[in-house]
Parts: sequence; C-alpha cells; structure tokens
Amino acid sequence: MSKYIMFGEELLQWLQNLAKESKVLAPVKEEYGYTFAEWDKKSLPGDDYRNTLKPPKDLFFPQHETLLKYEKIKGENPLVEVPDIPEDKRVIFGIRPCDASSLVLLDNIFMGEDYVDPYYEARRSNTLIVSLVCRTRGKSCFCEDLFSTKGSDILIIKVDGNYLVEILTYRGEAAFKGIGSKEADEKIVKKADKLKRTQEEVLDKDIFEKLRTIYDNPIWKQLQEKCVNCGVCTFLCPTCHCFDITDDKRGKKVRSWDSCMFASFTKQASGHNPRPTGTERLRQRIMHKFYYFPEKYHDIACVGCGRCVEKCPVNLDIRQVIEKIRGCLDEKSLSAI
Amino acid sequence: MSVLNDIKLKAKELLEKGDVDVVIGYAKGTLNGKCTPYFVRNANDVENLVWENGCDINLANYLLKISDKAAVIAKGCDTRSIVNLVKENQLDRERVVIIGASCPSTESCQKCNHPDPVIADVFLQGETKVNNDDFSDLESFSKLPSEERRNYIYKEVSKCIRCYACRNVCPACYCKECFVEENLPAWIGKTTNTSDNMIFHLTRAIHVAGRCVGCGECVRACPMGVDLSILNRKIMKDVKELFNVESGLDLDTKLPLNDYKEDDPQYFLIGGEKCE
Repeated sequence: MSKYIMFGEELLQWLQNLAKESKVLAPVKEEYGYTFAEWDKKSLPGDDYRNTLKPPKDLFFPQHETLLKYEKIKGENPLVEVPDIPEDKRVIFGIRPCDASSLVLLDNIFMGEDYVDPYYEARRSNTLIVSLVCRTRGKSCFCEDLFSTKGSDILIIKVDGNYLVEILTYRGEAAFKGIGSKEADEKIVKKADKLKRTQEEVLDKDIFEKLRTIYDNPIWKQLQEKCVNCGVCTFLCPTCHCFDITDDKRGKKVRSWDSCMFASFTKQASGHNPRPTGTERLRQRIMHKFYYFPEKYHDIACVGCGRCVEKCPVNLDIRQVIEKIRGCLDEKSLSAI
Repeated sequence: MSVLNDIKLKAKELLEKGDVDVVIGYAKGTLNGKCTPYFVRNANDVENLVWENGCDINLANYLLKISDKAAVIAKGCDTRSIVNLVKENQLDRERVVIIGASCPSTESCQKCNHPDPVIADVFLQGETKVNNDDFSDLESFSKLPSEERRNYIYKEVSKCIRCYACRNVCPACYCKECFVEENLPAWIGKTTNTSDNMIFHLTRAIHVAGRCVGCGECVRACPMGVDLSILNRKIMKDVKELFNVESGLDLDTKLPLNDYKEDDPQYFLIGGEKCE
C-alpha cells in the first residue's frame, strides 16, 4: 500500500480531523509515566516517550468488565441484562509496534475459531491502530523488529524531523483518504530503511523444542527462587490474558484479570491447586508464552516490550530465564552447574 | 570493598563447613543500579555476590520461602523484619545465620535511622550514615488541609493495578491466605476503582501496624509508583508514642499490637476515651 511523507503540522491536522469523529487516544504523560488517555488535540508525544507504563490490552480487554447482570425474581425466570456492546469509534495513536503486534496475538484468544468475545471484538473493530516506531531500543526492550507492521493499520516513522506514513490496511487507507500529503519518494523510503534495525532474536524458535522436554526439570525450582509471585509481570504484559469470572453479590457476572503468579490461580473449589507453589506457577507463565501458545497459534506470546523486565520488583529478567532454559540440557548437566 | 570481601569469605566458610545449605544475598541485576536476590549454594559462586547501592530488596521474605538451613546477608531493615518474624513464630532463629552488614545504600530510605543490623551472628561493619527520624514529613503532611491530604491518598490509591507486589515483597505480609483473594465471602471487590483499592491499602496498612519496620520495599516494588508510606509512617509514629515501641529492634519486647495490657491506651477505639 502507499507511503506518504508528512510534516509535523500536517500530522497534527490529520489527527485533529480524525478526532472530530473518533475518540483519539494517545500516550499522555502522567506523574509516573505515559498512559493512553484522550488526546489533548495539540501535541505529539515528546522525545522522552519510550512506551506507556501499562500495555494497551486494557483498552480492549479491561481489567474488570461486567459481562451480564441478573436479578432473581421469585416464581419467575431471572431477569438478565446484557451490557451494551461498545460502539464508540476510536483511534489509538502512538502505540509502539511491539504493543500493536500484541493485539494480533490476543485476537487468537478473543476472536478465534472457537469463540468470539463480542465486547473485545467490538472494540477491536471500532479502533484504528496508528503506531509510532521507536527511535532506539530501551534497555529492557528485546523486540526483534523495531519496525514491525503487525497489528498496525498505519505505521509512522520519524525521518529527519518529518513523518513517513505507511498505510498497511484498508481501514488505514480509509482513514487517510482525501489527505493531500505527498507520496514518499524513493529517497526518503530508503533513508527509513536504513534506520531499520532488527536484532538478534532473544526469542528464537529453539526454545519451543527445549521446553517440550523440560517440564519436569529441576531448573524451574531454581528459576523461581527469587520470584515473589506478585502480578507485575503478567498485569503489565501486553499478551497475558488469563481471566477469572466471578459473580458479585449484586447479581453481576464479572470478568477480571487473573495471574498465574497468584497463589489463588487455578485454585479449585475443593481447595486443591494443581499449581501449588511458585515453581509450577513460573513454569506455567513461561510454558504458556513459549510453548502452549505457539503450539496452538503458531506464534510466541511475547513481543519483547520489556515491561516485565523493567518493573519486576526483584529483577527476575525473562531474558535470563530464556537464556538459562536454553542452556539447560538435561538433569545431568544441570547438577553439574 | 572490604565489607564485600568479608561477606564472601564468611559465606564461603559457612557453605564449605556445611553450616548452611544456602546463602541469600545479592548479585548484580540486569538493569542499571538494581541488584537482584541471589542464592548461593556452591561455595565458588560467592564471587558473584555484591554489596553496593541497589542492594535494597528486603531479603527476610525469602527465609520463609526456603526450608533449608540458610544464611542471609542482612542490613538494618532486613534484621528488623527477621526479628519480627521470629517473634511471631514464623521463623526459627536457629535455622538462620545472620551475616549482618551496614546498609550499602546511598540513595534510598532517607528516613532510615537503623541502617546497621540490630541482630547478627556475624557483624561486618561498614560506613554507616544514621539519619535521625523526627517524623517531620508527617508533621508537614498533617498541616495540609484535610482535602489536600485526602486528595493525596486518593491519587496514590487510584494508581494501583492490584498486582499485589507491595504485599508480596513485604516481610510483614506473610499470611498464607490474604483477605483480598478470599471469595467466600468476598471481602473486597476485584475492580481497581478507588473504593476497592482503598480497602486493600487501608487494610494492609492497619494489618502491618506495629510490625512494619519502614523498609520501603512496598514503595520500591510498585510498578505504578504508588507511595502510601505516609500511612505506614503515621502508624509507626502512633505506635511509638502510644506504646513506646519501635518495631523489630530486639527479640524480647512483645509486638505491641500482638499483646494486651489492661492499661493499654485505647482512646482511638469508638467510645474508648470513656474507659477507665
């Protein structure tokens, strides 16, 4: 599809036009970091914008959501009320390509072959994704491709103070219709290509094969030793999507985020938990991302955004976990370490 | 440097003699200025130990997780947490060898007045900077109009995403089952709105009353920058004034709120001021 070049002013104007009929969400600086909030209609994210503190998943799959309400009526069928499906048109501007690609992974879960979640689907289909490429990788980032187009309708790359706008989908094209921007010439496209930086894969495919063989390996116990089983890594992960459905006293069925790190995760009504300690829980997190998910959906459930690395209170670094798993051959070599 | 050397020597000795199975300390982390908990089981690995700014995680927590005979490299706050855990029968003092050392932190914990260990089996003294905690932060906070104070607490609480990092890193929060995860009955809603978050944070603050040693781990652990230490510090000050106790300084004094005396001050109870 087409590529255009835009000055900052033009980009602002285009976004302002979009804001007339859609709610534009952009990274907004708050006291402790950036968060997606309604765009102020005048500024673009500053140079200090690396990524938002929280991943964008809660814009589609909120941390807490009422799925239905019911009321018991004596002698009659209960009254069931389904919340409205969200209809507002939205634009997410300034999302990083890693986070945009996480949405494609989540689609497997909430818009998959077996099940389509109407709330998630409505939000997805009402939202235009305009991503903004990072200029450098952060110290805890480990994405493979800074310029990944996965999940974006439009990808924007800053080149020499201007913006190279790459239209990737029909939805993106429609949002760009009638804009008199100049098509990007060969020179500028080449210049952007030069910026393209991929890096050695932290998460290459061999880890899948390794995980197949180490379910009962003692390495899990060793890896989880410093983990305190809080939910930072999973709640801040753009792809973690485990949830729990509970009923509250007022007749609401609610879905809320769950975390495999929590002691209550998969705890059964009997009190039994098949994942009783941190060892099984850390194994679940790693296996889910790098084995179960790829097995089912042919892609790993990690985009390398680095939030879990950055925010883990005890610096349990998933990159090191992967490295150690890669290095662990079998029980014999492990005991020799 | 020499303290680190002494730490390594002691750790090595304990492991080689078989006095302990594991030494819990810190290694270099993967992020700048951050050290990470490190479990040494092989005497050769003591070389990876560090003792520097960034060794701030309270290690007392890990003693509960590990059943081996362990040595822990502990600074002031870690030892105070250990004292409390022993007093509350969570930890067998005999199972733990405390390698005490002065806190190497140069940045955090400006209010800390106990950077040196309060108990230790071996004490490796370094350079200590003792700050006098006069609770002046509380004084200036309490002078703010009540609306401002409320707004501050609301603002902090509203940032919470309920990941429970604050609770899980806290050595005083050792309940096997926490009320927030109970659902029969559900004491607290699962939302992250201010009211649910407030129940969590206020209950936690009250629950660690008289046991919190002010290590600041909850604030450091929070990914969203929630800082409610003012609540904990207010309670610390109250406990000090009411019961003349600073938490976790020795093994003999009973924790004031775990104990009952007839003449305990109780003006804070409803109708309490009427009691004789």
